[in-house]
Amino acid sequence: MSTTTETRRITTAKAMAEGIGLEMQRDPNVFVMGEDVGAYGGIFGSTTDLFGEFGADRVIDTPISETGFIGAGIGAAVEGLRPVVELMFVDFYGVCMDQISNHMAKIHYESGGNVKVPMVLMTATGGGYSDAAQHSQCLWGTFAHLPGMKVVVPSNPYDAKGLMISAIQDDNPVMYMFHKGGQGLVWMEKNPRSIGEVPEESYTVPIGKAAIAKEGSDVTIVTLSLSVQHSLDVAEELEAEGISVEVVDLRSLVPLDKETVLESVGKTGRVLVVDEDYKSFGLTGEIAAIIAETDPGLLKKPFSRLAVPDVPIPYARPMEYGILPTRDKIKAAVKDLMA
Amino acid sequence: MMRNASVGIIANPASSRDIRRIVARGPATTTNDKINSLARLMEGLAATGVKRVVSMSDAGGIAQGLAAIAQKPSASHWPDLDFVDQEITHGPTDTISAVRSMRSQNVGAIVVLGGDGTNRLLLGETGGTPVASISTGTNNAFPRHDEPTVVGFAAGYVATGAIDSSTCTYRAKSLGVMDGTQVMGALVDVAIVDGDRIASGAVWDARSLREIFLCFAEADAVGLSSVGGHLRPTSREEPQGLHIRLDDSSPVRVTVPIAPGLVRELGIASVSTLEPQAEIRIESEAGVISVDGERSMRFVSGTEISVSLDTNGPLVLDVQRAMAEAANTTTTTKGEDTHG
Amino acid sequence: MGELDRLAMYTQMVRIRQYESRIMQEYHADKSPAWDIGAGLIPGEMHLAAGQEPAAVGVCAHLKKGDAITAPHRPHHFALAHGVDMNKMTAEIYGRTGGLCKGKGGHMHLFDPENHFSCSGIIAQGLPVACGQALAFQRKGTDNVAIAVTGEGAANQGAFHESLNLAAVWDLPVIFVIEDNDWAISVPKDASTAGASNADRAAGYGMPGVRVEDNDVEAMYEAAGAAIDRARAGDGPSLIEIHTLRLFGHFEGDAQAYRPELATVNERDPIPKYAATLQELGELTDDQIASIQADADAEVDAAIEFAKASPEPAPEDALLHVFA
Repeated sequence: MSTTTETRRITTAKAMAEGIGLEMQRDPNVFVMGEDVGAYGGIFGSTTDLFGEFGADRVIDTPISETGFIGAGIGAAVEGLRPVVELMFVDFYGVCMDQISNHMAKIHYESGGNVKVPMVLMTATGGGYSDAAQHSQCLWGTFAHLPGMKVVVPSNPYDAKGLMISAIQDDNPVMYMFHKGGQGLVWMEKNPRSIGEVPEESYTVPIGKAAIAKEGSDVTIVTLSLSVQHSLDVAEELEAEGISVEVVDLRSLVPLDKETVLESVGKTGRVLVVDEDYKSFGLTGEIAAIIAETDPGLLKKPFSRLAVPDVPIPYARPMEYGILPTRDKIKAAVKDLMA
Repeated sequence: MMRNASVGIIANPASSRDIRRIVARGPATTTNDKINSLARLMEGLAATGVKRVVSMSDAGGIAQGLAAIAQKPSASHWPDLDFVDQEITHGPTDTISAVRSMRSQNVGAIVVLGGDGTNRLLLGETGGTPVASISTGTNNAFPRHDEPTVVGFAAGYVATGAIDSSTCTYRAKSLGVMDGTQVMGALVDVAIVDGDRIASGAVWDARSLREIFLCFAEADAVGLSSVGGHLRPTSREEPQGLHIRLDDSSPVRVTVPIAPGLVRELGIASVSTLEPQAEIRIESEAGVISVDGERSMRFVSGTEISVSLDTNGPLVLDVQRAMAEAANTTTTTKGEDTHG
Repeated sequence: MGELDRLAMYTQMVRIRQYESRIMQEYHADKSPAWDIGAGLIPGEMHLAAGQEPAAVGVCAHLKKGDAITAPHRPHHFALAHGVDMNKMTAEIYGRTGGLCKGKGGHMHLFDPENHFSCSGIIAQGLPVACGQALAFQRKGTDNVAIAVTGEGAANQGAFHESLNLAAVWDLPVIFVIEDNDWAISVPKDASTAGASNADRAAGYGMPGVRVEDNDVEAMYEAAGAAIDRARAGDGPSLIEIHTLRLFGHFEGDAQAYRPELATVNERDPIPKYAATLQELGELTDDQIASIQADADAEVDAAIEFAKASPEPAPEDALLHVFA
């Protein structure tokens, strides 16, 4: 990672696209395909300006045919290219999960390590804008559950670029799961942390290394994606109330940086896991298991978690915000831990 | 008017799927197109009072598809539809056994859905029963391009006796290939081809052609008969045919469509009239004989092969003449005068 | 299209048949008297391709270095015809460390990157991958082609239609090979498929579709040659459906009670038929038949010996190769 005095601030979406563009300049084997990634620039801005720079030959609009073009990405990767493929909404996984799970993620293993699938599958996640049950899910726990693919989940522009470059350079299939609300899009709720300082040059953020987004001593919030932004907002408010919150941004689910989590929990003795994915059988339970397996004595207070309470994402705003891990709920959960 | 008039249907499930689709973007007549063609044929047959239709059975989905439509309320006015009870071998014998069964059931006409290859299978089998064809094959010189509904009218008029079949039928010519006895027949062409490969059947490599025998050669033909059509047009109803020898070094050249989309320049060594019953000895040492565009039989050096033209092919129903005759002899007394 | 080598095609068919026959013997040998699919030297499902040799041999006769094949769950004939090492393939089927995939794949997941050969056990899902391989060849500017093999039952999967569409839209150098063996496990084609010919379905995508009847290896050779030439020249994809024959059950242990034509299946065996053709042409003597068979016997026996001599993996090897 290089240091820079650059203070340029850009959105997460632009940072992602910049990461892809730098890799495309560096390596002719890198190309992009997906629905509306061309002239449109990606529905959530992930390929902004790439079409103008690289043209239709390297930024390829596909038919609405996820099984077809994700499979084609796999085949191209098997033959040595480095495709960056976009699944527009992660909710569309149902029409192409065989390619993702049975092919992209298993070919390396099934082949005894003889065939590599160096492919990035980037996809938009998350709710908060009334897109309802089929366009608002996170589902990263589902992908992290299935072996064979790395899963990265950036929370801010700097990491978005660095993780993208790492993902493209990785010899494994990488699910790159970005949050629509964290892209810095002008047509979504404004989350100020979705615009940030990003160096112009190429750099990497290591896959599998969590970040301490904010240091603190009383409570650890383990979280990811847009919930990192919310947790940082809450931590700053609570600072004024005398509660010191440490925010661990996982950044990757596979591999998962257990050490950073355990170290922080060991320091604070209190943990809240915030996850916009479904509650049961997911990330929150996984973190609890890791702590319990390692040393249940790390916790001074019972384990606490905040996640979507096992219901599909509802449409109407009061209900949707009733189930999402909002700042209010995060704050209340931290205060409960301190009570 | 014959009571209980019936018509037979022969439909070839395999037609129009050969290699010419790859090498020359040959036409694709899908199974569903064929089924729909037969459904339209049924409308024409129903309109002329045909009571019963006997159709060939097949494993290619045509009979099954037609039967499914016949069950629908919209087809309640159709003639009764029966299928020949036959063992399906996926081969040419399916067609032949179906025709024999139809003739034993005294059908008044037979409608053939297929190209030249399918029609050829009927040689010597249809006797005095008029045969009408609907073109669906890859290469069609023998069947005319008539709309199936109208073919249904024509076949129906003949089968019911509404018109006299002698006014609208003619006896087609045929070619026989003999090695002592007749081994194969053709309705349009016999060709002698280099090599020993039958493989995918269709003749599509022009360089391999040595000799062509033609029953008729229309100027607007496609396929091997187009060679004759460009050199010396010969009608379907005159008694003679043509015999053409090819030689790539010959200065006499023709550029012709030897299959749809496949245009080739050929060198012509000779063109001669083929008289009926004259046996022409094949000069090639060894090679493959194609009949109606399909490579069908290898012959080795020393085999004495000859070809002759016969004037005893199927009794062809000319749809245009049948409809003209019907216009003269059948009248409609019911219904409104739309010219008010 | 290169020169037709009949003897080579016959030899390859015999070699494949001997392989499938011996694997069948080996598979059942130690599963009796109490038959248990997971028991024995070769465990798991076993889908053998005896009778379908013309499909693989007719296609692979035209392939060259760098050409790719994705095969389905019944892959041995295409693997062998495409030059996958018989010893390593057999060791894989036996689940040994000397196998193509070190025992991780098994008979439905054979991967040989050197020959660009892979399989998928999921019906029709290898086709999109083949499109991607073709896309890679197109982008690299090579004249290599990808062969996407599947059965007629798979042609009702969305992946089949998505692949045809993608291949046609992007003019990919891919050839779809549909092995129509009449049976999707126990369901006949007329009960499962609207439109009897998948060659017709190709037409819906503006792609040439050919149906090869009679399980005829030379007809397959010629159709495949034309399609492969077309793809190499940049003229895009084609589809070839061959009406072939599943001589054995869907998998070993399938009693095939659903199959009315079972008694006459052996009469349609393509290998004796082709031998007769070659003998008629004077291109195959009785002595050659015997020596080709003897060579196949010896090669297959040696491959089985190789497999049996290869060590089994250790349980902890299961943890390797999840990631590169």
